[in-house]
Amino acid sequence: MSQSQFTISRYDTDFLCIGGGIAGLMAAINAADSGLKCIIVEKANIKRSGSAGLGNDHFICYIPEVHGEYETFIEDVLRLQNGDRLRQMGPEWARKFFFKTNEIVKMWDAWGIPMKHEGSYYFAGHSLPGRTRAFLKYNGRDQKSVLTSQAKKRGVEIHNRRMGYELLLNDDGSVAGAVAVDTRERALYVYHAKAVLLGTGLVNNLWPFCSRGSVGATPDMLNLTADGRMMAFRAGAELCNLEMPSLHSGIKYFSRNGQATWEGVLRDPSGKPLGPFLDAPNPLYGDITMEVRKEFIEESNKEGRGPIFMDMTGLTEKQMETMHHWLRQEGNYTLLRHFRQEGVDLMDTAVEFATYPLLMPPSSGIVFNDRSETCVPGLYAGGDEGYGGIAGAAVTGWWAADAAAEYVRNKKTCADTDADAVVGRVVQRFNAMLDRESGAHWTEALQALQNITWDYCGEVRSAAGMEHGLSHLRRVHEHALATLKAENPHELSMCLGILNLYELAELMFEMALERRESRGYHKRADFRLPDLRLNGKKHYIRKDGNHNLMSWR
Amino acid sequence: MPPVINKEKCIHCGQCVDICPMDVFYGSKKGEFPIVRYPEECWHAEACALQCPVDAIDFRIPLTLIVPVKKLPHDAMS
Ligand SMILES: Cc1cc2nc3c(=O)[nH]c(=O)nc-3n(C[C@H](O)[C@H](O)[C@H](O)COP(=O)(O)OP(=O)(O)OC[C@H]3O[C@@H](n4cnc5c(N)ncnc54)[C@H](O)[C@@H]3O)c2cc1C
Ligand code: SF4
Repeated sequence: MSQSQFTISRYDTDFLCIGGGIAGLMAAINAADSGLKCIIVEKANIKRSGSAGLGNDHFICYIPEVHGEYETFIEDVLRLQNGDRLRQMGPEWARKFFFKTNEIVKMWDAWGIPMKHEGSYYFAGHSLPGRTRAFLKYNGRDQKSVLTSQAKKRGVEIHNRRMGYELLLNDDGSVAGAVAVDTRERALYVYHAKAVLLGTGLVNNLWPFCSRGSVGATPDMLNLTADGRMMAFRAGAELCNLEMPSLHSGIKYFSRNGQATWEGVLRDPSGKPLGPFLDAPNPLYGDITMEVRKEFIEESNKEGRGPIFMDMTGLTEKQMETMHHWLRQEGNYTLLRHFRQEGVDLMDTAVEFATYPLLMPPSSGIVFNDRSETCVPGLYAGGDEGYGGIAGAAVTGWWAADAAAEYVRNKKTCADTDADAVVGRVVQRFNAMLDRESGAHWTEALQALQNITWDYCGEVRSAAGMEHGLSHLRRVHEHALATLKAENPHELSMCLGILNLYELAELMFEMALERRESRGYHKRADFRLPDLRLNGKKHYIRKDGNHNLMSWR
Repeated sequence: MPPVINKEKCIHCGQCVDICPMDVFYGSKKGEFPIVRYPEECWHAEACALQCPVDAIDFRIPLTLIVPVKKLPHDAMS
């Protein structure tokens, strides 16, 4: 069928933010303050989209008047969940980051995101008993409405229900904008922009998830499908450490991130605490047993010591009420409704916890520096595209705009771009999926992908298995391209997201084959030890013509 | 069927349709009773219910999401 079925609209702007998450919104706000014309393209509705859409309650930050000396603060923080990540970024990055968090907390509070609890800064959870607490409890439920109105107040345009799909490049390899597709109508948008930020969030669904049967019931939203990572890669940017999965834990079956909001103690069925930290609930610190060893719960189950429960018994009524408050700040409304419907009283009833299966962490993502610049001129990335967490998204988004403002000021408009070629190519692909009489549903393609990632690049990895798995994955990918069928633009956006996951999975296989060692949750049956020569190094991949180039630095 | 909308209460304002991040009400229009077209894609976080001006939305929890719970033997703890 012809291209004409898609309506095509064009826009010109200085700065285009793809993904209206925390990173995208903070970047747009800061860029607009620097005088840039900004548009945010958002796949869903910006007010409730993405990992922060229904709220969060922990904001890692350094507040000098609370924490005192930075040196003492950072020493303790390096021992905790974020320690490894901060070490990877380096001490200078960490210092710059934490001083910025202090400014952002105060900015958000002034804008109307309540960062204080009962009148003062309240730090709790994710902490070792008796040591520094670095996570500020805040009321994030409506944070995105607040940030959206701050952006609009500055003249930022927000285009909801549009999925950023492909970047546009100038002849010199610098970024020239992007093409987006509507998720509700047969419409395509061409954005000409001098600079672009990718802020499309986390990768969900690369491996199968434990609550089989409910495709949407994953710890993060279903529509976070590595769109940013793959747009960046196809445009020539570097990705890194894709083969290094991570683990998370949380409530069983009703899977959701945000485990640290549960203020009880992890216990075995006899009531014995699983970890060494607490024997009664302590809301100030939380039970960090799971953070020290994410697979602890699964191991206990396998060894016959489970099931393992999060037990709030011992909290006072007032403490329980406060914990419910935080659960609501983090979007757990349906879960709490479920407990009400079932008559479950958390004062005397424990809930089962689980180790969630492998997932791709933010650190497996787009490579960007402390100005959020990628190696493609004019292309920036922030948040879960490469760092992680709410504060991480807020700071890296902000930095991206600082750098983009400078870049845009010095950027001459380029004569032309590859826009027409890209539009022709994508419209052909979209039409094929929409116009096919019958074919594979995106859920079928997703399940096929997850079978392969799990069986050949999951908990057990070997050269023979991965080589075979990768060639099978490529074969199934070809079939998916030839047969995926979308009934409408909503299904089209899901198909396109799943295809991005296929591309990302292939890169993950390539990188996992290349990493001939075992480290973290990358466990090679054929290379059981860590290769110490790789300590402190990251593994990079980028496109070079028709080849993928890998390197270590 | 995750969100379940009360026909009696709903005023067809379309706010749930507009806000849902997963677009589970895809195809529904302001002025009409919303249809839950893609229930299995629901993230169960209630963007719609928080938005609804007349509290018309309830949820049926899918069987796959029911949380296992247990009263632990309290006397084992001191
Ligand atoms: C339930 C839960 C609780 C959490 N609790 C905490 C916490 O307490 N503290 C903490 O620090 N972190 C927490 N996190 C993590 C935190 O929410 C994320 O790290 C943070 O939101 C990342 O921000 P971001 O801007 O990178 O991505 P997101 O906030 O996820 O935003 C990405 C945006 O991009 C949009 N998008 C995706 N693809 C496209 C595309 N192709 N085109 C256009 N738009 C697109 C999405 O719809 C979304 O709006 C939690 C996460 C979850 C799920
Ligand atoms: S928000 Fe409530 S009242 Fe409005 S259409 Fe949805 S269910 Fe009906």
